[in-house]
Amino acid sequence: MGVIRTITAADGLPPAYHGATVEDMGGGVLIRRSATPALQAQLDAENTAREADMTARQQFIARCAALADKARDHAAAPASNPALTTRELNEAIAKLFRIAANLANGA
Amino acid sequence: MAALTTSYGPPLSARIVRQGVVTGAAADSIILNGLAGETDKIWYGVAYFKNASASNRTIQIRPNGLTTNMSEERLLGNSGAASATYQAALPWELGDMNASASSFMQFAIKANFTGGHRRFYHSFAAAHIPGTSGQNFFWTGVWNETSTEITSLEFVSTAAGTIDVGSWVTIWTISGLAP
Repeated sequence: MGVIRTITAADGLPPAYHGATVEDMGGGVLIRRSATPALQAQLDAENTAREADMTARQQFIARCAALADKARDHAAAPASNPALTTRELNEAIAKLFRIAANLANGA
Repeated sequence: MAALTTSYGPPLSARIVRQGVVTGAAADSIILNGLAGETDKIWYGVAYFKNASASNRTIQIRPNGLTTNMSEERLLGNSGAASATYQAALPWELGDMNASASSFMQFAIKANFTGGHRRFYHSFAAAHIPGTSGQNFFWTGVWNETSTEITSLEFVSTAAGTIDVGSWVTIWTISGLAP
């Protein structure tokens, strides 16, 4: 995958080429596509979806860690650390089953 | 670099100058760029072009993106019949791609213009589809431009988006071949 950029005067091509979108493959090779903006939009959409997925995964992991820490602290010192609420227990069980389902699906 | 054994003189060294491949999505053209410093050479090339459209297309060679001051002679073999055409003011042509088919080309370009000598090219192209009627070409051409260095070579189809994924072109040079 090369770098999407536009042709400039530095490329040594006539002015009619300047501003045209190309994929710079490196090593002095340019691939010109009039359809490149659509390709770029598709790539941008895929990147946005991937970043949103990564954010959701990070939030999931952080919440699992918080629930695990609270359960651990309560087990170690019940008098000074509150137990998981019923709501948190249900949430923890739901997350465990979600992880199990993802593992079963190979995710 | 590969060394070639010669009967006299030093060994010749072949070197790939540029190699472009279309990946991802069909393209309008492949541009081999930044050729300053290579312009005193004779370039050899091979190319494979796959047609992404259902109509016949032609691949042109545009030095520095230009199509002016060029002329060419074409010898066409079409299903066993031969014909020749002189084109006084058309761009250099590398070869044709039959509809939804692929072509294989071999070409040479005299890129140097030392002393004001003209640039030349010739090309062979096999565009026929096995088992069906098809076309094969031999082109020769002259570029009557001697004051500008060739710093890029564009291999462009006559219709946008018709150079399919998997198409490629390679040019190489052999040092010491030309004075």
